[in-house]
Amino acid sequence: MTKENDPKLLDHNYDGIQELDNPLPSWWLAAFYGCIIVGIGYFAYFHLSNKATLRAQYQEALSHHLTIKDAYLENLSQFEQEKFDQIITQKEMVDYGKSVFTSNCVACHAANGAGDIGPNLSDDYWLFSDGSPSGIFPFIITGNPAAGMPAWGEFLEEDELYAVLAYIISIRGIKQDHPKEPQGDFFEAKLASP
Amino acid sequence: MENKKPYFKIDTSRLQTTDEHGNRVYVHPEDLKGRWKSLRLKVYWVLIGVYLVLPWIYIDGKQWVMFNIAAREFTIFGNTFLGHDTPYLIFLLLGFAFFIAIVTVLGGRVWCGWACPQTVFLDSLFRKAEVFVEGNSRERRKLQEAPWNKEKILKKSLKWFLFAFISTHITHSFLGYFVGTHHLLEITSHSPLEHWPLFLTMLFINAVVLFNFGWFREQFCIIMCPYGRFQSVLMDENSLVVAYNEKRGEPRKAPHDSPETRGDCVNCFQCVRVCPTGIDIRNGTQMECIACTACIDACDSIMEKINKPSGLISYTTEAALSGKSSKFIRPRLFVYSFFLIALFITTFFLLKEKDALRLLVLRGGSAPFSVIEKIDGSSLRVMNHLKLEFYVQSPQNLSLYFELDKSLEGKKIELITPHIPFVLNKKGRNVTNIFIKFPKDLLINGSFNTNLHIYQGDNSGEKSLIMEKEISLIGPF
Repeated sequence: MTKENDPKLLDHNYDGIQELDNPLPSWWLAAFYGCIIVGIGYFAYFHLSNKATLRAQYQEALSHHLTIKDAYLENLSQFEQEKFDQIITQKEMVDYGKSVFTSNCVACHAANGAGDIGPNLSDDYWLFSDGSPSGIFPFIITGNPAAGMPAWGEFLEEDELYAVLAYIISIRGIKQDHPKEPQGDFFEAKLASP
Repeated sequence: MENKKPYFKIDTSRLQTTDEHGNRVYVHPEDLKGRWKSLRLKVYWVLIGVYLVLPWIYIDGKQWVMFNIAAREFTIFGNTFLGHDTPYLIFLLLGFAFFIAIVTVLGGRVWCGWACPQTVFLDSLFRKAEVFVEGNSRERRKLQEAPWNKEKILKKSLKWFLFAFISTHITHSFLGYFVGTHHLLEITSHSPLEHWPLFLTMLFINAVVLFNFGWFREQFCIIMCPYGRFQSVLMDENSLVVAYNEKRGEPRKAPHDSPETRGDCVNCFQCVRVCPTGIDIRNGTQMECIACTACIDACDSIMEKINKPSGLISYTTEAALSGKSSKFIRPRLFVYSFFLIALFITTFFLLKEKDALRLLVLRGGSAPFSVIEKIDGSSLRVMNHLKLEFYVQSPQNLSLYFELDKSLEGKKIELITPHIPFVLNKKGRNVTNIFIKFPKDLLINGSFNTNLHIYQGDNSGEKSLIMEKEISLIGPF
């Protein structure tokens, strides 16, 4: 094909492949110019305005997330006496607590809470709390990573936390075959609700 | 003859569906009947049936095919893939690419004409609705050119109402693959305001579907579809194409010619009239051709009327048209098949592995390790808390036992597992914690790598090793 028989023919010729200068489809051009217009608005909104930059959006979303998380943890470590009183009177919940204890705590506190790496949980001596349900509960949730006690609030559900607490309270004073020696300070058992 | 009908004047120097200013020339193809058309429609209805029914298949209460993007859970024929299974996707995509290549080498663009959703929905639903409301090709073009009067407004609004009805169904079925059909059914019985993000998504997809099938149509195939662009490098002269037999047809009938020298083509333009992309197949294989076979049916009906053998336009190959015999077996076919089979085998074994059992080892607790002073103060001992997450496709009640590498015997390492055995009785994630206590002397620069052996126990008490996982014990320097 030559210029004579088609005036639309462009100059380049690659291995016999030539190009005709036809107009682009109008819908294609409309989409092209539409994208440019949207692009200007997008750039102005997301990169020039202070409020809507990606960094600002990220920080806003993060602070929102942290607020929710803090409120959740705050709420979780809030000991609810009523809930505990209900659970400790149900044998099946205490048994459930024992199974949670067996799955997660036995490794350090040994069977029946006799103590191994972690302290004996069935005596009246306590390291980080006063041994009362309301004292032990927040400690189970936050743990003491330096001493090897994980923050169980991150792993266990609320029900599991209360159930395992009920189990720990239920083993107070039971006879152990190989108890670990007492650690911490003596607290008189205050197990019933005030 | 064609001078009286400017529509049939084909300017091969530009797209038939754009005019000299680039504006859209709307094609009104004749809706014909014929051997291939009726066969195609049967295939289309089967495919539409599959599309509509597939998301309603539930096995064990789980949707058989579902792409839950929000939960990053993708179920394909009952196999669930999670977000971190994305590497498997490469095998699926590569397999698809080679499969398409093989199909194209053999059958040319059979995909476009027989199975592409663009053609399937357009030919079996949207064009049918259009013909039902606006009539045949001539009537449709007349209506298009007519000024806006009562009849045109009525017909156009009825047509677009039917289009919207169809596209709404297509869209909801489509969403069913992503949202879950049971869940979607429940949502549709509520107010849109309760699920407005999903409702807006539905409206958006619906608008795209409606625009595409109502107006955009063949523009997608010609200008946007990538497959249409690279099919020309996949095909060779032995690939199946819809083509006009030039030797038999030419010279086509013209005014003042003599019947003796004339070929079989009577220049009736029936093949152009039915073409959904507006081309003249007699100009040879073109990039616009979606191999839909409409021109075969059109030409055969004419050949029958003038008592000539059918097949002036037919499924054939370029080799056959030039008098050579077309070869079915070609080197490129073997190369593509080899890769496809290799990919298939690899994927099969990977999936088998995946199905059995998968284990993710994480560090448990907030601290990576803790140091325990022995009461006698003799040596420093370190404890590592590991969280083992097992993933199984179905509840298998596997009993697992854990042991550390045999080479560690006598090194005062203790492995504490709360559950002996640990039973995988849940579908999906099963979590247990293990604790390892070891003397600090074991560590080299604060860490030590060893293997965790996982045994499966059966009813008779026999244990067999099913997995070895390298773990890293860490502690103070």
